[in-house]
Amino acid sequence: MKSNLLLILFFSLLISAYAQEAGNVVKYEGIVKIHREGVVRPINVNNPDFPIFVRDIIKTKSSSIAFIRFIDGSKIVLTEKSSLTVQGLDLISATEGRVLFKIEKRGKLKGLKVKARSVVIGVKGTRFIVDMKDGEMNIYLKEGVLSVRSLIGEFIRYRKREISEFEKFREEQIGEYERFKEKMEREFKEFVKEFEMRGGTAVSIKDGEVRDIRIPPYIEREFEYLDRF
Amino acid sequence: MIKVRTLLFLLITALFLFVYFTKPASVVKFVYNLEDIKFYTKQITGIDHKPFEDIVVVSIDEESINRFGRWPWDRKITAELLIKLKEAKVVGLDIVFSERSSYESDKALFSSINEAGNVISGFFFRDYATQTVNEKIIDFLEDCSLPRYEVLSEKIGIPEFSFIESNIPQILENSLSCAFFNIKPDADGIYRHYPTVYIFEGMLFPSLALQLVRFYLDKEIYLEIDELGVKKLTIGDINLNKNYIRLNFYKDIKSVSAVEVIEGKIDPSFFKNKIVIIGITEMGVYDIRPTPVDPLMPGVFLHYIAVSNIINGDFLRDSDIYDISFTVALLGLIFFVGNIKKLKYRMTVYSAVLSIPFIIPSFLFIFENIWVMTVYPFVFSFIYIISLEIYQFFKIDLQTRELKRAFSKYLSPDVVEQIVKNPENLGLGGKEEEITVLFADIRDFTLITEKLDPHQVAKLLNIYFDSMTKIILENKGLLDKYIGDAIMAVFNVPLTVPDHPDKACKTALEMIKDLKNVNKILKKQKLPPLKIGIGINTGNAVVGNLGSSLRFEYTAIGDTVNLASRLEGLNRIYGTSIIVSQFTVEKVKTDFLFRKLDRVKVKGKEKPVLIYQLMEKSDKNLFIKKLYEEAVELYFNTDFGKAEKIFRELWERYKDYPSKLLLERTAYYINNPPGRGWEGIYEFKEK
Repeated sequence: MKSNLLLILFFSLLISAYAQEAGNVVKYEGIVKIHREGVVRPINVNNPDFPIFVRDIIKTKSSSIAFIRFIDGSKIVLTEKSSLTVQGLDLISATEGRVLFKIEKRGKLKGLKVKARSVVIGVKGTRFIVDMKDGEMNIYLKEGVLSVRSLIGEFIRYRKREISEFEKFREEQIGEYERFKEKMEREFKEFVKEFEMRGGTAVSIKDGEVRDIRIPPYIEREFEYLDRF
Repeated sequence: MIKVRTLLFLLITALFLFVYFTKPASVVKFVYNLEDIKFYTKQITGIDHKPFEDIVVVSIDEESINRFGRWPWDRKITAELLIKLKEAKVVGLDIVFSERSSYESDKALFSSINEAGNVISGFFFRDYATQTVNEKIIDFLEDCSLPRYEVLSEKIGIPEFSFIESNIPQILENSLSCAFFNIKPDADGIYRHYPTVYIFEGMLFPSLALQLVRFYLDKEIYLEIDELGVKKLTIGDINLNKNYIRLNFYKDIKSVSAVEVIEGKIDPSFFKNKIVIIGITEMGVYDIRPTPVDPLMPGVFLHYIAVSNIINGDFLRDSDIYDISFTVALLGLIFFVGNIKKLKYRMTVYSAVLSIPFIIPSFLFIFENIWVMTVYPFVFSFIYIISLEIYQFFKIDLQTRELKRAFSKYLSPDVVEQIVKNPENLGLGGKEEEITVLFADIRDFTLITEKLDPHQVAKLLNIYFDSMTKIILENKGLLDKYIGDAIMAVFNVPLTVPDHPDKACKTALEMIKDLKNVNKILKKQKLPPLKIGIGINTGNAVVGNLGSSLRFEYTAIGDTVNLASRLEGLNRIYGTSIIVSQFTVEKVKTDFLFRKLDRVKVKGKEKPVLIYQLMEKSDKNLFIKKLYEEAVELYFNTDFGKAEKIFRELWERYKDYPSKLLLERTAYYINNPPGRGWEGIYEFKEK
């Protein structure tokens, strides 16, 4: 057992010497594990400011949370049962759970990209949450601009039309069925490879269909985690 | 237009692909069982491949059960066993500890697992269960899952389970890792395949064998998965590309009894840096799996074989591409073999082709660890051969009918029958053969036709040809052609007629005899009677299908044919009906009555030829022949005076026209004696 631990430690040091450092797990609660390239056994995060490297996979267990500061100052929070792969200094891959991002501006440099399942999110100085559950993924954008691009095929983007005062009045006059029909018609769809999100908006992506949703209060509160470190 | 052979090829290929991909359960069971013959073939050859050296099974066998009691044992015993195995690199458990036992025993087991630090605990997935696992267990299980994978499609084709029979958390907490040990049998209940990864709770779990290899090699597994399942699985230098590997069974499996390990009969250093798998081999515990090589193989051996197969890289590589290409290639080969005309050669090559599905897959299996199916290639090749032969049978039957129909106009039925039996005797192109040619021509036909209208001419010829042709065919002659009012017949082709000169002479006599009947019919039809002249010659001629690619006919050409034609023409001069060349007479075996007529040189020929008249046998004709030939000899010897006397007597007494001709010629020579060296050759300047 001891020899195995020594071996892991040796490899960790070796990798630390050669692999590119990507940031630190600044603080954590519960159990946070790191799968390091070339090491079969996952490493327990057992102290604050635990270094992370390119190609590391960071995972949080149930009732656990990890606060990560990226090397460029960007902040990432992994809530419970979440997973994140540092694919490079400009590409992070969120594979499961709910992950909070606060990305720092990089001046004229290309912005950090976040990959989540079959979606790539282009980021420039913004705060957002990627929430993945079963086959659905929600993106909540607090501030800034995001560009969301599909890696497989095109999105079917549903949008809501503006309703004029007159239409509001008319809506009140017509029956339930007509209202439902109108609702369907108000929502129009377009096929896009990429779309843009503005601050204060949120979308739900399921089976390639993108619909606008509201940011629920509990998510609003979760954004506060990004200010805790 | 697509040929039937091509159509059959396409149909059988489509049928094969349909069966191959739809995999009907009843067919699959039958096919799998037959495919297993390859393992017996390997056993018979005595060729074996060796398992990976550093792997051993610690068997909870009959001896261990007798020593420590019925399974499950007190966990303290298992703990003791694990401590003895702590020098091993990894220890896989084909056992699950899903419930708590006594505090002391559990504690001993947890401690030993922790102390050994090399235990990969086993669990199994369930399709259905009454209880689910808690978050704590899922957290532990997560550490056993594979973290590095890439999903290449929206949907993934890896088996997913909703329930698990897991170890209790303390086992998981203290284990180096964990893995599932489910093994799924094939459709016929036989275990041939071993899983690589399964999905549970959205996590990818490796099988026990794969996890053991992962920790033994200390190399991470990298996966690419798509809608078909595992597209690429890399672990160090080992590459897999399937959800299941096809196990390549070993003759020998290295196994030691648990009791020997626990009681220290085996030194713990024996296990140093080895892969150890602990499992139950005692039959009473029911972890027995039927395999192609052993109907009662302990399940733990399947993990052993899988680990060894993965590390050695000697698992059986199978692929749809191998099976499809092999089967289609065989069908293609049969397609070409179908071109062989001779049935006996075709059948020999078919037999050789049908042995290929047994030879090549067995060779690839034994020496290259490649699994190519035998049954489908064999069965579909066989079906294709049967289909082709049935088609050939009907085709030949149709051709035979057509051949009979076509040749019956020119050949006698028994000759047609012989051709049908031996069509190869009908060689294409020209071939030199000895034949007897018969030419028959109507005398003064032009004069006859002048008095008749075209319809009457046609009627006359039909009656005449019909009768004469029947006689030719009855005597095994080939009606070569009608040339205006003339008939050309040949004997000894296309099939051999050993006595062809006799047959031709017999035909000529019958034709002359039958002409009386023909004339009776013609009289009734108010048509004029006919007289004919026949010339017969025997010799070599070029015979075969001659002509151009657009139009050709089966005929004979050459001097032999020309001489027969000339002889027929001489009948007008000698006043005879049948003139036969010396070449025919020399070969005739039947006792015909031939009269030596003359020695002539026909137009276009350099060499003189003796000509004979074929006469009807009678005392009168025999007498005439005797006298005439006596006179001819005198004539050849320039004794024209004596010869003239005999010829005159024959003419005046019997009105014998050849005698009249020779009489005139003799008279001429008496007044104009020929010079020295005269041989009695009369040269005809006209045809």
